[in-house]
Amino acid sequence: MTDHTTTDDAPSDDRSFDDSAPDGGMPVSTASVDAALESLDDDGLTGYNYAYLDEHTKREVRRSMLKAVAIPGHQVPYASRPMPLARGWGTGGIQASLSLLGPEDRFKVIDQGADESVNAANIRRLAETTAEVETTTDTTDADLIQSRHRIPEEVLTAGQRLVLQVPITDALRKVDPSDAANRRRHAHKNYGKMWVHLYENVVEYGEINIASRYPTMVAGRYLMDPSPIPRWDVPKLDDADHLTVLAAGREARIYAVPPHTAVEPLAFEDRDFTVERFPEQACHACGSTDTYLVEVSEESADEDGFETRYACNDSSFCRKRRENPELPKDHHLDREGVDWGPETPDGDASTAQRGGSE
Amino acid sequence: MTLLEAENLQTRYGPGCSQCIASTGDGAGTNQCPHCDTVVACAEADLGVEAGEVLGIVGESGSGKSSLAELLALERDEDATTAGEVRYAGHDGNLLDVDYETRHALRTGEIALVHQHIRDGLNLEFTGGGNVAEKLLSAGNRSYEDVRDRVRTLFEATEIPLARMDDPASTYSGGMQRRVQIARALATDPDLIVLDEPTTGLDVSVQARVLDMFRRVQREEGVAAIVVSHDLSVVRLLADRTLVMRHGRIVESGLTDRVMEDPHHEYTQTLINSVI
Amino acid sequence: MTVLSVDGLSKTFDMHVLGDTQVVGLDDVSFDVHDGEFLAVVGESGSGKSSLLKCLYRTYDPTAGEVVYHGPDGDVDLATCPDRTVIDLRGDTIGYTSQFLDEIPRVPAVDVVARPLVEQGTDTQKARGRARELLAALSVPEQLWQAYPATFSGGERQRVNLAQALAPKPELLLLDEPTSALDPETRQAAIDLLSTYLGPETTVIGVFHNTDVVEAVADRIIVLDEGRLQRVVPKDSDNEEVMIG
Repeated sequence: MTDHTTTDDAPSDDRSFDDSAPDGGMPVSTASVDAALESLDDDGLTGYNYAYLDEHTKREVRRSMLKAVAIPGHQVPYASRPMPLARGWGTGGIQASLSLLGPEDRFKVIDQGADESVNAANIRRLAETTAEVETTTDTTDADLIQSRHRIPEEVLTAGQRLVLQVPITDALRKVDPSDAANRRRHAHKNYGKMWVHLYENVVEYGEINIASRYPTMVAGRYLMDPSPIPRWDVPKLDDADHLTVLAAGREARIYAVPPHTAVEPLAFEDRDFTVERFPEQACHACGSTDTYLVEVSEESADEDGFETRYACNDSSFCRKRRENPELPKDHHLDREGVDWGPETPDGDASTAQRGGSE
Repeated sequence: MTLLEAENLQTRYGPGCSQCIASTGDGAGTNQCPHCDTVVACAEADLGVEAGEVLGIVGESGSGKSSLAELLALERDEDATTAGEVRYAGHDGNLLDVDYETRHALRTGEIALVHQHIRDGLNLEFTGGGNVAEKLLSAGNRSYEDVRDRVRTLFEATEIPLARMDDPASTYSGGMQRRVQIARALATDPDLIVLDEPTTGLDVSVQARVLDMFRRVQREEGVAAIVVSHDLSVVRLLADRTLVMRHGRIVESGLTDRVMEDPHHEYTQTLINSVI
Repeated sequence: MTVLSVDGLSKTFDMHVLGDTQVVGLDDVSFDVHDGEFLAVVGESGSGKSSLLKCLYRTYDPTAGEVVYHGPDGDVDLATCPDRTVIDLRGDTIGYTSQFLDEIPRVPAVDVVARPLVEQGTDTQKARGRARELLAALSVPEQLWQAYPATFSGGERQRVNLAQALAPKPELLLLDEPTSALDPETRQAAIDLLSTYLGPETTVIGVFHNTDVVEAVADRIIVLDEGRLQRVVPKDSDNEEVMIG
């Protein structure tokens, strides 16, 4: 928050709260904390720039995002700023979102598929108060979606942007803790070690057994950690209509999957990439069998313990499905049969729920 | 058919001056230039390797044999200044000048190096089989069953118990780790293997079995080899021809039995007569 | 037909470790060897017999002279041809064995004998079969076949050595005292084997100590003395004094 003057990146002028501090950099001068709080005549945002971050930071983040889009899957460093929450709680995602948001945008935040989590609600509120955006829980209604560990069940479209929070940026760290060595591997597209990891996976389990952060080739060039989304969601990144930005606050790296980019999960010719299987299971609330399900434990009715049930992980889509169980994932598009993640099982769970690994 | 031809190879550590070459070597009795203190690890080295042939390089520590082997295996030491030319069948130009990608491709496919130190050559957290598979996977093999079959074949060829294939390489004995290194080197059917001090760190009882295995596999696969050792008996058992190095220069070369039994150079005669 | 023409062969050793003294091994040796012939080389200890064989095999670099091998692919001067030509000729064309076994330790006897065959491309099982036949013919006890020759007696090792040299049936076989450590009975077995196993297509040049071996197998005898060729004795000559080993 220094004395930089905003120029070309300045948002439109219809803001009311920062007239006195166009650059967001005016300290409050008082004798005591009590007096400072007393002197505040608004909701406490005086002194903050539009969308919380100063313009310089936003420009820095946007530049890194542009570079990330230009080199799909490549990790671009950026000057990650301290945010009003601890690193590891989505600070990278927030910086990306706040740098992208404009007052016309509608913003959705989900945490493991849920809009209601405290963290998601707080991030949403921060954007509401600082960036004056409208928020929504409806995937089809959102311009920008920030998410932790999931890609929504409803098909994302060309105008939409998805920001994924990333705890660990490099897929190769699984096989070598040295970032320097891994950067060299990326530079030379030398992914032999990761292939050995997959090989040893098959040796040990008979199949590739990686639950999340599935190593994925982007545009046939860079190996990418797609963040801890389940395998279920990985095929949605392939040839998508929307832009995906992956941002890590702690590690200060941004990478991206631009629209219509080939995204291929690593797999052997004779050991396919497979998505999670939920044989014979359906969401207990909406009855869906073509969505990513999670186990939920609830106290059973007869009070003698807990029972395990399956439920949609994407709570907003589950709500729609409860109203209309037949609602397809591409209900909001003009075309039908859009390829978006695993298909509806037709009874043969082993083949029907297989993801695209071409 | 000549597989590899090297001319005027040179590795030096230090700034170098115009008198380095003239002031070092066999005649000067040192590998360190008295004018600029540069260490001329090897210089003026010419040699050739035929397809399927085993060439031995002997000399005491500091004679330059490992520096020469590193150049031939296209291994790059960032601290050294290197010069010279390495030509390889089927490739245009000087292999010492190629970019990283080409060098990596050559090292993955055609020229394999078996490191003197096991830790430089193996990933001990991976399984023994995984270490061999890495070579195949790096070369672009994407069929799990094919990789598995090839690893199995190589374990059999190098006499490693198949039952240990999926155990971490860290649990292997030194002899088995050396075998894994050799199996790994053979994985992509290279034309040339550079073996640096193959008996280092092995018990005497294991050395012989590893050398015998290597000689058998080398003949069966028809792969050429450059064997570097300070141990004359290693070279005597494996090599068709032998180079003797001293003070960074090749002082004598010829058929291995000729070098051992009719050494011409004074140093070679001393070396042969020093064998316990 | 002449298979090998040796002309003016000389070998001088420069012994740097002995203060640059020169030691003469061979001095102007010339002789011819005929196709399929068994030529015995005799002479006193230090007369240059082993040096002669080593010069022919190029284990020693001849100082002067020619050793022309009249092979199926034309003439090759073994004294001066490139190292690689020598490597190509060794094995199935020119074989050599010294009186001492020189092998990788901890390889079973049967594999030691089979190795040259395997290296020539013979199937391993077949090569081992041949190796067993040879070891049996040289009366190496069967319980030793799978044992390591390093633990054998001198005589047993020499038999393994000879079996290995014979196994590939080279066109020209150089034998350096292959029977020196054998008892009379085994020596007779070795002599029998030389004639029965090798057949007329193999030419042999052998250094022998024992008169009975020379008498039994040699077609001609050349006598060396202090590195010089003293004379060539045709077979069945009555000249007993050549057997001075």
